[in-house]
Amino acid sequence: MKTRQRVRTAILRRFRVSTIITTVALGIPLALLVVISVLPFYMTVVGSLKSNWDLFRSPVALPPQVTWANYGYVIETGFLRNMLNTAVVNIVCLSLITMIGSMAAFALARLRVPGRNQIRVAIVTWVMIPVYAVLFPLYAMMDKWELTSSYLALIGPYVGFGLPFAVFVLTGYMKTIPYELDEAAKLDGASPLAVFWQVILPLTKPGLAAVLVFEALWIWNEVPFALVLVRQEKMKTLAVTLLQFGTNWAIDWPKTLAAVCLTTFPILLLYVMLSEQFIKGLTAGAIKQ
Amino acid sequence: MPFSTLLSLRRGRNSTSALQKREALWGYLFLLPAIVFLAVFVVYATLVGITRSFCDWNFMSLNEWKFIGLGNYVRLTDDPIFLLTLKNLLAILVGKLVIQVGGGLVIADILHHLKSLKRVLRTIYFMPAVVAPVAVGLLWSYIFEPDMGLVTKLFATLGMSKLAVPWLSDPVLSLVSIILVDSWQWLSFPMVLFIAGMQAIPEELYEAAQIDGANRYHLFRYITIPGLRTITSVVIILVTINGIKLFDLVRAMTRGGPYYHTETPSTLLFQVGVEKYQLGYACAMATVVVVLCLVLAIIELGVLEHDED
Repeated sequence: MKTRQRVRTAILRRFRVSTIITTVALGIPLALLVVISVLPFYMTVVGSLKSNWDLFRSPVALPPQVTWANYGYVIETGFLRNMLNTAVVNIVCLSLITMIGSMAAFALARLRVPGRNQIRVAIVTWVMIPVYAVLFPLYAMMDKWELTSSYLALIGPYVGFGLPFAVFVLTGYMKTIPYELDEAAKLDGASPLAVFWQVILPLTKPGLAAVLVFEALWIWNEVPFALVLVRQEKMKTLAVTLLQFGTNWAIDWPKTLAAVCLTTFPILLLYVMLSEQFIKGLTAGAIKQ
Repeated sequence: MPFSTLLSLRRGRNSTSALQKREALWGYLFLLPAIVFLAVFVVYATLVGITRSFCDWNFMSLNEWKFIGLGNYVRLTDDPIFLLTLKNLLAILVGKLVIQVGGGLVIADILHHLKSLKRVLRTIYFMPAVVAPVAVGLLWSYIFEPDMGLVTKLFATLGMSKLAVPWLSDPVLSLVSIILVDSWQWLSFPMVLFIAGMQAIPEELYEAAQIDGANRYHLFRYITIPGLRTITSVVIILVTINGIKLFDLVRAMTRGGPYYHTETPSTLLFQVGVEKYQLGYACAMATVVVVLCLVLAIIELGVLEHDED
């Protein structure tokens, strides 16, 4: 052991000379990357608080005179209504996805269902299907059911497309819970429903949190479905309204930046508070937990 | 008394098979809602989309369609705009893979060996990934804006007049800016995955190699890279699939212009369907996109299965 330690200090000594060089060589690109990551956000906030003239004179400088008029204008266009639409759709979809998804995952991970592996593959494979495959068929469907001015036009597709990912992550998570727990509960005469609700679901909370973050962010930011399936202006979601803001012929930048801020900052605030949860949620499908 | 005897005693009148049948029944009941949602909104809709790709179908008369066989697909093969979008997609994918996978790997390696600040830097770098791509597209088109945007000013100050032009209306630079902005948003995604992969590599391997006199590059090349083989395949496939799905950013930054030079199959099919009303033709493009994604998904499953052995 002692020789090993001696070797280690020798290595450390040899590395110390180059340590300063390494710190500088690595520190500069790392700091530059911080600036590149943060500067656009700074410019958005600063820009949204300036008048057109001040913005034109210098986009980077702090506003010589803070104006809230841009936010006032954006809110007058009905932006808050669009935010409410997104929130309603999001809450309904998240409840349905987590509920239905964890039920399916429970059946696939904890119950002896004949053919459960085939069923799991049959559900999870749809994770890969891009929404473009169903965009126009679903529009025709919603048009036929006369739902294009209703929240239902988005809720059905979001739940359908959100489920494969939820089932994938939750099944994987539930498989890591020791099986003795179900056996013990079953011996006490608990029905599968009771095992699901009282034993497994409480232990699946971290998996559920990852699924919630992923799906909430996806629905909050989603464009193709929201753009095609909802026809009525009043019912459109935040991301679509924002897109229309930016593609007007003559873009009024301070107002557009205010709209960007209003859409982005609720999410960024949550991210600053729960960054670990966000990172876990967004990478949940790619690595085993 | 052995456990199994206890079990059978307890079960008493119910035979084991009856119990198993009950459990299976519960299982199917639990699966039912998920299967209904998937069947209606995903599976059925996809099948309709694929069938309609063989039909003449117009936005103005949604309930009428006429079977025309391979007509839409034949039209795809000599539609210069669709071929251009494939070329654009290829450029985007190459750019994304080089910058995001390559850059993500290098930054992950630097962060992984950092003693302090590791978590803070990771949190800052990941910030753009939680913002809506539409918002990202708008705030960057503001930065690329020719009159007051930073990019034009920056290159003008540096005296590089060739780059001090309106980026988003230049046929080549607009595509470059799409790749750069998408990378600004998603660079941290591979980075986080690589860091997770690096944490699984045993520290002793690095120590042993250092004792043998390996330098930083050797450690990276001969320990880190081989240790990340599986995660790298997953990352490459995810980045590629996200590239094929790219939509919001293009719509927000360039709407596919100038003259289709930033259009991808995903944005073109939207335009053909919604703005030109040719739904059957749009469905054919969508089917091509689906096939591209599925091929990649099958490769990914193969990689993961191979890893399990």
